[in-house]
Amino acid sequence: MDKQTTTAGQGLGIAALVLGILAIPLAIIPCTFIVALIFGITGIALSSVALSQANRGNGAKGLIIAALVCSILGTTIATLWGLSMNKGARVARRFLRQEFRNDLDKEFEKAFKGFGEDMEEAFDDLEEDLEEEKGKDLEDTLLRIEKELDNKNEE
Amino acid sequence: MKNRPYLAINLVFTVFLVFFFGYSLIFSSHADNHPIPSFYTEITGEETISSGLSRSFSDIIRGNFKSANEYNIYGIRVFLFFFIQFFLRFLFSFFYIYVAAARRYIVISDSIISIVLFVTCFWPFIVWQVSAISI
Repeated sequence: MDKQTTTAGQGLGIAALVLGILAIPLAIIPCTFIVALIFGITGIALSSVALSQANRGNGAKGLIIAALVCSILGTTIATLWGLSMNKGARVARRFLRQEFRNDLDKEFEKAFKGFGEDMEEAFDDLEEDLEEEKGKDLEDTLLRIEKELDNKNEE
Repeated sequence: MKNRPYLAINLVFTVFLVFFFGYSLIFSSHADNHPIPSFYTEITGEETISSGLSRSFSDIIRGNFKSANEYNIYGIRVFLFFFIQFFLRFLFSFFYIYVAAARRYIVISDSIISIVLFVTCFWPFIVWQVSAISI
């Protein structure tokens, strides 16, 4: 024969169910997800104690299980918010880093915009100078050879 | 009350809703003195779908619906959920006490109506959260 159910764990079960039910809408609202997390965790703790009391005293378990389910649901939603917030922060950081990199590239471009052209001009001038120098040397050598040849002819 | 947990839960929710309406009535949107901060904005520094909800509730309870809509476009929707729930607690408690034969059906009806009402009123928040998690 079945034993008659008692009210063991009912008080804590009611408190846990209230906290669990409140945790769900509070978890859905992003601004209050921390409150939902507190309510949800407290609800889980209370319903666990209530469940053990009901097991010992042959109390009705329907309400306590409902409280446990609502508390777990509220805590899960609030935790997901926390995780998605982290993800959001990571995305924001990555975005900011990319922006910084783009700014840095722009600054470099601005700073060294005329640098390449100036370098090219400098190299061209240097080449011209070298060619001139080379030309002068050649002229000098030719003149020297001519003089030497003239001197030999005179001898 | 311990023998009738449904009534105890309804009583607790009614008290909670009275506090909720009192909170909206005491603190005003103009003074911007709501003591509960937006934890999301405090942590991330970003505005969210529920930003301005407390100020919106304060305006709704004062009858300034246009201003309430400006603070948060979903303010009226969410407020309506709590407002309907407040009356549903009285209604279902009344039936629970006076129609003893249908207590089981009253609890089931209350659960279904409350879930449907919750999903309807909080739908934009649910969508927002799902999209935020899945990104």
